[in-house]
Amino acid sequence: MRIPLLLTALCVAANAGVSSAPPVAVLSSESAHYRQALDGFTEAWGSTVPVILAGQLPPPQAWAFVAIGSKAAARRWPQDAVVVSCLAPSASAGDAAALTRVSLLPDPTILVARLRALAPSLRVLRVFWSSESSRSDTEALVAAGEDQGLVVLSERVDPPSLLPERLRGLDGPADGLWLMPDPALVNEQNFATVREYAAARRIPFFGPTEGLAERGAAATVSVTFREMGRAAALALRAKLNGRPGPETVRAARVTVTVNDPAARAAGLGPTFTGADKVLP
Amino acid sequence: MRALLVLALAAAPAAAQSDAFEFFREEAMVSVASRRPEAAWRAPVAVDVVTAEEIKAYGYSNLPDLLRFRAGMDVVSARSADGNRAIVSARGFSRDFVAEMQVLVDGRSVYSPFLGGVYWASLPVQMQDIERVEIVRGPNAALYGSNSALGVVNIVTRRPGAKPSGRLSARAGDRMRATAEAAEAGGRLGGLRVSHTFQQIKGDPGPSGVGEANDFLHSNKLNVRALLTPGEAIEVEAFGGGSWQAQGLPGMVPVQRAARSEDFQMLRGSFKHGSDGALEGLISRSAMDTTADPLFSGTVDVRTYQYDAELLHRSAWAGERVNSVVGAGWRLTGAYSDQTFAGHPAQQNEIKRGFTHHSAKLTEEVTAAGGVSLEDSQVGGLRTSWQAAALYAPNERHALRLSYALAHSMPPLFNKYGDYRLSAPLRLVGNADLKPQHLSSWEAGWRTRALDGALSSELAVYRMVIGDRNFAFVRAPGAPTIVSYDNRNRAQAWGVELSEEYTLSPGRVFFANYTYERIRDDKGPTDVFRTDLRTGTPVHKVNAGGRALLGRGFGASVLLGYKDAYDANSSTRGTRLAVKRSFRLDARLSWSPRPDWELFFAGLDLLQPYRVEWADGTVVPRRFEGGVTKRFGL
Repeated sequence: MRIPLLLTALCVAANAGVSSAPPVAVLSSESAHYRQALDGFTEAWGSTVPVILAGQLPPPQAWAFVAIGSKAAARRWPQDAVVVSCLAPSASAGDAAALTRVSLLPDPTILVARLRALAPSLRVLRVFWSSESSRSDTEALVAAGEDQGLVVLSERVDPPSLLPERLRGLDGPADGLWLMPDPALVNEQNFATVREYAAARRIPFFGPTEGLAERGAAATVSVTFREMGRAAALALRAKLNGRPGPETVRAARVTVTVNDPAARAAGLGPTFTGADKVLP
Repeated sequence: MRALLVLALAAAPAAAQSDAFEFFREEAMVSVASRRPEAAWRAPVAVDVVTAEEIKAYGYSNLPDLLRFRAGMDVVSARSADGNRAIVSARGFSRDFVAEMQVLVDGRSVYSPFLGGVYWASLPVQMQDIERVEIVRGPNAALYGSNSALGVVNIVTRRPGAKPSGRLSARAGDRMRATAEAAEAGGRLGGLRVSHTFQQIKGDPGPSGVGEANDFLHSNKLNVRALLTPGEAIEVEAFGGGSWQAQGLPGMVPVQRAARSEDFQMLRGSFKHGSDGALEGLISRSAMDTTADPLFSGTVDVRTYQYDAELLHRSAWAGERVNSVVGAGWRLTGAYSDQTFAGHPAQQNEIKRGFTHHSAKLTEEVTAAGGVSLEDSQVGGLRTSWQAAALYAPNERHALRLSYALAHSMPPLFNKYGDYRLSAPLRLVGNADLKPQHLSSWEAGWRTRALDGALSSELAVYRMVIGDRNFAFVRAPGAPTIVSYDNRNRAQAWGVELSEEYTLSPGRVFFANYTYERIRDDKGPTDVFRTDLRTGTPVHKVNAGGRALLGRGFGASVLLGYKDAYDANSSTRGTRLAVKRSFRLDARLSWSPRPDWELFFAGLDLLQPYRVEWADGTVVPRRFEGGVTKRFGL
């Protein structure tokens, strides 16, 4: 009996040692957007954490991680590691045994409600997406629309270069356009294409990150990178406390930014209900 | 310790809000390869696109009507002697079969090798399946091969959707009735769509404008499209379908009928590699059987067939500043007819082709593009086609382009090898030495957008020269008179195309376009069929229209077209008619009580009881029709 008791004691001691190790933040790169998320994570965690870049080795005792960016999330994790990813739209549950993903998309229920408040005449929203990793978020948005009486028509654009053709061939009604936060799809060319398409038809084009409102989208309903970092910290703490929660979590605070000239040109306004920021 | 060292990174103040796309750009490098999209308005050639949205709003029920109101297009409701029901040409040169116009359906050429041109009514494509129609005006042989000298019409059908859906529609009028059904379903691995259309048309009246000429058309079309996407980078599509028709041939004594059936199969695949590369392949087979009973002196059976294989590679390099296409194709096309190739019933043409096309963004404002196609065929020998263009786009509102192109058009098999006794006194004999036509074109274009993108304008000015132009001539007068074909002709054409589109508010779009075309036949009207190039094309054409959502589910659209006078010369009938200038007015009112239901009522050619368009023994009457569409799974 002494050997099993000794083993048990060793295991408890080992776990205690592991539990006390701080989580490690793994960043895809030093880019500003990942650092903003890291700031949010640190703020919500309550203390600074060790930070490494995606190509570096973590400390040997580390077993809890926040992966910020897809490159960071795609690395090989230690066995039984607890991982939360954010700003990593390409990360999937298969990349780690216990990966929790902070979505780039705001809570679809809140998203639909904010869009309806901003554009009361919105009946049919066309949603464009491309990567397989965007499927679940798109389906969640479609479901949220159904619950609130908004017809959300999902348009997969694969390969993304087909976007201009898909827009030209759009069949059926469209009162507004939404571009999913899909890295394969969101670029200068596609953004300009959708913006011009929407402008030519005088319908609003909504985007998923605040910066897109500055570039001419009528409005954005977004979660800041910092808020995503905060959500990652809360999710990681919950997991470490034995509350694994859902596979996909979403940041609570949603920001609605309106580009005043673009919104008015698309028939929104003159008041923008629920807008947090109005860009002149 | 490394982790502690990196803490300095975390402690560094985050930069101000980064560029809107920087995050997605960095993530895209990790996740998915993408190819650079090319907005149509930045294309180095004159491109016009008709979308599914427009097809629905204007209620186009056939392809020629869809093309009729576009800038630079010459569309005539015309019946050839063997049953073709429309002439579609770009920038003039209308005749029963326009051999210089290439038409593609989902990338597959539907050009007929027998007489040249396209049998529009029997194309195995359905209006309900069309996602868009791209109209490229001007030579594009460097990309699309021979017989695309005047332009290319690229018909693209929708990919099957991811979720189960379907539609049923029915329409009926004083001269027609039609039904259409489609169903599709899919999932993560792909999708499948099956669609069918039935059409029964009474046909146009005879020259008196009353009654019905022998112009009926009964048509069935069936299409299947299957999409398989086993991975993000691989896509395989299978297409199949056909059309089956019975029709009358008007203006003939005794009364004649034709039966035409066409079927096709196609497999198309693409493989994306790296961040900017894609390999695409296509193989297809098609066949068309036509029986005209009797055609002039007796029953004529013609079977045409075509086999295609094409492989091309697309890539973007030098930081996506250079886009390249390199490809090769093989085509075996032929016709079999005991009656029209007397003594040598089987005629065919094997075409081997290599082509490459590149566009380079020299600066942020200037793009240069060029391509060359080397084609070797039994009918045309070794030919080189090429094109070069420069595009200057200082901003998103203006784009100026200059281009030059040289393209060849192969003579139809009948003009080369035919031998047909049309009637007791007339025999048509091909010329085995007939050379391909070569067309050179200079063009300048300007596209602009104003009023926050709500107003878009395009202006194109061009000059074309067709050398070695094919024409028919009397080789030996007597009994019978022998008519053959030769290259001793040269034509010049120049024109101006101006189009405007204005979006007043959501769902309210108006357009107008004007086309000026002048054609000069250097050797005069030497064609035995009196095809006078100088007067065969309307000099002025004006089109205008608009569509509007009126609220409460109502929508309306109006199309108005004006055509200058022209001479109609039917090359297959040998008839000629001076056609007066005419107007065409179409109007449509629709009501969608719910997004999945639509009812409509339309009037076509409303301004007069009937008008003449071609020397074929029919007139185009005023028509009325109505219908209903129900969608499922919207």
